[in-house]
Amino acid sequence: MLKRTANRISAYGSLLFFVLISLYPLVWLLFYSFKNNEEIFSTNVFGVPRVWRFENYVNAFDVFDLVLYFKNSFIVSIGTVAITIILSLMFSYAAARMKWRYAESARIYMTAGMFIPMQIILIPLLVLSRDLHLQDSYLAVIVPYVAFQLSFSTIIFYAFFRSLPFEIEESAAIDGASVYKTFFQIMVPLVKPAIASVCIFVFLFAWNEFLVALVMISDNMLKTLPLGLLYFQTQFGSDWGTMGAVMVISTIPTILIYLLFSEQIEKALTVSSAVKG
Amino acid sequence: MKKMKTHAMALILLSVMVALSGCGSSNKGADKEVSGNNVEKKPETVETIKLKFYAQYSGQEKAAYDAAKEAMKKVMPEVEVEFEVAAQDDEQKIKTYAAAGTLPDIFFASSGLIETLKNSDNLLVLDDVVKANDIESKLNETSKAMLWNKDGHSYSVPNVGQWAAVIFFNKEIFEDNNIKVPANYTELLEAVTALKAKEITPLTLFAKEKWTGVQLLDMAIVGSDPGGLKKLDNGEGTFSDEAYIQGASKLEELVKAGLLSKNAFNTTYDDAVAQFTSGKAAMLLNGAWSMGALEEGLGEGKMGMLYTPFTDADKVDSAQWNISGGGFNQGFAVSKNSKYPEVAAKYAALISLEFNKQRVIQIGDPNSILVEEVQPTVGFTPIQQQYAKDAVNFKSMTTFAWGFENAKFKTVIEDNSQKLLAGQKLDDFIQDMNKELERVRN
Amino acid sequence: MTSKQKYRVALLVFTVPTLLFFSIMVVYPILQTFQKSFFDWDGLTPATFNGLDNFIRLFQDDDFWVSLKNGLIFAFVLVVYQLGLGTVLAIALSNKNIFGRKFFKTTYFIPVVLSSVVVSQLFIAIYNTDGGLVNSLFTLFGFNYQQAWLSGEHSSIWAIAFTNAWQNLGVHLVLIYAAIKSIPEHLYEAATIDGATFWRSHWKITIPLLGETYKFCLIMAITGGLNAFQNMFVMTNGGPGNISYTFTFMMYKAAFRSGEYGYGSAAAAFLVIECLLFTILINKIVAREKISY
Repeated sequence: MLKRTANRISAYGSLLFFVLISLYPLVWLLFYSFKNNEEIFSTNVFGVPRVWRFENYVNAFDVFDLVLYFKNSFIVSIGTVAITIILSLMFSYAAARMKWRYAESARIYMTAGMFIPMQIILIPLLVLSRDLHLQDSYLAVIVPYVAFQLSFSTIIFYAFFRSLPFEIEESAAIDGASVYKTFFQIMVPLVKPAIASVCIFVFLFAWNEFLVALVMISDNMLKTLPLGLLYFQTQFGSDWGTMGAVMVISTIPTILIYLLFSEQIEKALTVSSAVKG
Repeated sequence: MKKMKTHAMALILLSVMVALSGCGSSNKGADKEVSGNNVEKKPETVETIKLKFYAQYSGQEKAAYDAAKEAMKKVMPEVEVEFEVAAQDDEQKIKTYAAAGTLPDIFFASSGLIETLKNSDNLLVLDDVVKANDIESKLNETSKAMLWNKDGHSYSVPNVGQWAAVIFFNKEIFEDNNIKVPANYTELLEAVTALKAKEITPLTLFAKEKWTGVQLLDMAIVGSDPGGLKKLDNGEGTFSDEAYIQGASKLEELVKAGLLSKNAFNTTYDDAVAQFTSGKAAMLLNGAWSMGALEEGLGEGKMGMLYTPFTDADKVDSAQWNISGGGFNQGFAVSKNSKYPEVAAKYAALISLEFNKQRVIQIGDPNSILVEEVQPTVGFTPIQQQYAKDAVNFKSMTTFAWGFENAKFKTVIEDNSQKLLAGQKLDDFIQDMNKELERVRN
Repeated sequence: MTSKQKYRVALLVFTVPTLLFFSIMVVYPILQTFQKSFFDWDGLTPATFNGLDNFIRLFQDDDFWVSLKNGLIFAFVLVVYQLGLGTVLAIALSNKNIFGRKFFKTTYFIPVVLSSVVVSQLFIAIYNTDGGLVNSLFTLFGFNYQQAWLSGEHSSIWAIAFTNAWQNLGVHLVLIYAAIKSIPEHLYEAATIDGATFWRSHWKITIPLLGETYKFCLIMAITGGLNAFQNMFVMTNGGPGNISYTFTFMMYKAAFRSGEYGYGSAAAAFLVIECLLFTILINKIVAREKISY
């Protein structure tokens, strides 16, 4: 009994320790967003702000066109998520469940994007987007984002599709359902947890991405949040507190998206394991 | 089961719709622009010409850009410029634009970039515009040279003056701790040792920007040879030459004495400024352009400047005005592929001068390049007046790192100077540098 | 149309858009990178073919060996921390006796949601030599062990890798957790899970069943480590000197700082091959056969 209690205490102890170190950055960022440069870098790096500078938030809205950047980031992120999911779902279904000679090779081919750092193909990408006339539209970033997220999402979907029993299609075929109907009405709903996870990761990626956006977007009207932050960085120094305020505000949607979709994952997981068990 | 199905379908449908509306609206944006251009061709109003302008349009300088743009409306009312904010990214973005053939009409360029883009034939030669608008006569004597590239052509009209690299110091720290403000190398070493003993960082260097290490080395060299690292960039001399060995060995000695915080290599500009203004660091290296902002942070009259504290005591008289820094030609350049080359060229040339004027008026730049006398709205601070007085005495200047014309040399010296500052042995440093020099000069 | 033809058409509809899109936007640029690695090219003026020169220089370049070592260390840290700790935490959270599991799982994912720029800034402060959190902790516990974590030749890459490993632990945790949850419970019924035997039975039952997930996590961690860039970019800019370089950084330096695009492409090509080799290796080592319950 004693041993069990000790076990429990140490288990909760370590779990709570991880909670602490996982939440601290958020708290730190929150404090940060109320400080000035001197506190941030020199006099009060980790602690509670001495003076709560709400003006940082006022600045974030005044000086900075937060609404525009938010809108752009949303369009880009949601567009990226939608196209990525559609393309990779269809492809992984074909690779995992349909019978064709090159299924395996095609699947391996699609994983190549996992190990290509985007930095190395910036210039060819920019040339491509010029040739395809994507420049100065949201597609200038959506297209490369989707391309780079395809590998990751394909791998996840493929694994999920493989784990489903093959009898599903057989019975669907007996019922006379077409491939499309089987796919959209039977298979896609079954991989819902995977869709939710991919949504989270792809959204996070598109929301926070900087380098490709920097090179591909030059029109002010199309700039995403990470690019907007450039306004605060100058050769004469930056206002880090206001940047912190913008970062706090821009973190909120990502947390909400995560909470929303992780709920979905959790639910779906419970359902599927109950079905199987 | 059925419920799940509908949920998932709804989810997908929703995302498709949002995506489509997203793409749709973006296409509309593109269409609008195209049709907008067509409209311009019709002579219903005054033809406006839209130019893209890539510049440091942020922070303090924003005011100067805005005022310059406003003033230009009177001279060239047909032009409408749209600023694109330049990133602090080692000119990566603009180089990528050049490689992909999508340079903006007008952009901010330093001599390193001008050299690169000149070789790849991306730059418009501005000779005709410069002559037609009599630009040269409007520049003061010291700035005239910056107008012309060494090949005899003009690729950009300068928009800021030559700044020295200086070491700013906090007068109070030196006074309170009874440390003499160093006038030569021996005193500098003593000061560093004394500050270190008091647990004050002697010099805060924002070495995450690699040029600062290069500048420190250059400052250490100009005490012995006014050519500094610029000479090596031009292809003369090696690191085995006396002046370079001396400079590097002084740095090695200072680093051992604790000149820098071990944190210097992760320090950004704002971080360094915070160390300096909060009194944790006694000195800060930067270009003289930042004196206004720094003095404001520290308090008026509390900041001093050093130009060549690395000079040996017996050489101070002869070498004290051998200045590190300056030396780079920078201004607004024009892309050869601009749709309106003549207009862009004229605009770039004229706004360069206007921008410099507005820098003086709006942000109190004490280092004007113009013949015209302009007064700032707020007046000059003591240190700005001091600088203006000293600048008359400057005998020679080297360059800032972005003024190096050999990009390979720049990269090599940036990385290797960091190694030296991180505690590399002098002999290894010199050996590495000489090996690399041989390679980059090919 | 016969049903066989219909099936074929469906196959094309499902695969062609994705394959085409991927080929144009990812594979084609990579092939161009490979091609350019045999050229002397500054990215702007016409390129001249120089055979294997770039690769010969690569193997003689100090940056190359530092980058190779750093990439491997980075990958190692990610694998050990994310897969190791990820598994332990996922198993703990799948234990129904633990109260507040959802809360734990949600919080552990929070760092993933933050931008890596924010996290890197935080860790710069944590690793700070003067008054940083790590050094202060050592002082607090009475050790005189003050280190320049991000500037030390031997500590820098480890410190940066840890930042990344820590931030993305949640990704692996979620993946492994999902895999554990999909293991049917009757498999555990034989073994009564309690106290000391709890971990043992998981060691025997759970971990062997996670083959596919581990394979994916391994590939992600290793290629992520070899490709690391963003953290260095914010934290050390590759320095001091080249001590925190990786291949991506090397490529960035060559292409954008010194105008040697061809040489940078060679470094990039090597990186792609390295990742490919690791992926093949992982696929060979980790059990391939599909597990059926």
